[in-house]
Amino acid sequence: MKRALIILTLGVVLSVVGGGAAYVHRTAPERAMACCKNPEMAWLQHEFQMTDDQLARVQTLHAGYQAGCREMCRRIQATNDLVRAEFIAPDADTLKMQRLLADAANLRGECQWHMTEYCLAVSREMSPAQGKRYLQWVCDRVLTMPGNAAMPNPSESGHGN
Amino acid sequence: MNESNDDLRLRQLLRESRGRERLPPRFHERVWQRIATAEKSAAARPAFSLAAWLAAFVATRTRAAAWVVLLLGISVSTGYLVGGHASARWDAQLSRQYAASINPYLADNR
Repeated sequence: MKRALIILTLGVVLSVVGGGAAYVHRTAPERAMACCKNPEMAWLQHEFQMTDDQLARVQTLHAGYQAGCREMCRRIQATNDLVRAEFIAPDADTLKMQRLLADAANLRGECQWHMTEYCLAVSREMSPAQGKRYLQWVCDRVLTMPGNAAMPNPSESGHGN
Repeated sequence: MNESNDDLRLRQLLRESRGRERLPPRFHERVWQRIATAEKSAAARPAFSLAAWLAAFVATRTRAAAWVVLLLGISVSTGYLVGGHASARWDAQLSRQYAASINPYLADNR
């Protein structure tokens, strides 16, 4: 009976250690990414098999793009505020509103163009096969701009910092 | 000579004692009934049966090793499976974070 208990305990201890080790091993890349300063960039490097040099160049592109994107969001927000103010004004000028809406649409188009340029530049930093994969991923997940979505607030949007 | 005298006396005492004390009626039947009841209650206790089963199972080295390997196999596969799910979840979250860092509309519409 005592021997059975010893073997049972040994088996349980070994299996707990083994299971834990398997979990730690399986989640090692993601835990390493989560501890990084820029987890999303670490994910990009891991997902699209980029070298450190490629990542450094992409990070420079990303930083430049985010600065422009913040400015674009600020302009879209300002135009959006003007449209709203004009819309609820008692003596709404329809021509002015039309011009403001056209401005807002132009800004969104400009914003999408900057996004597309950035994505193409990032894909060019990757190997051809990974670059193609990246563009497909971006097409499916990023280059969408819902028409009825609320305008993003630059301070609350996903600019990270 | 002395020994045979003692034997005789002992036999006589035994005979007398048998004659004096009579067994109660259905004594043997009751003894067997009590044995059967004790066996049944021992088998009905799960801890007893599990411990006995375990003791029997790990009685040989091969079985003991098989037991440890089986437990280890189950736990390692479970750890890998659970880790795979967690890893996929983190991956999805990080990919959403990256997508939102490019397109703030995605952050607002998550």
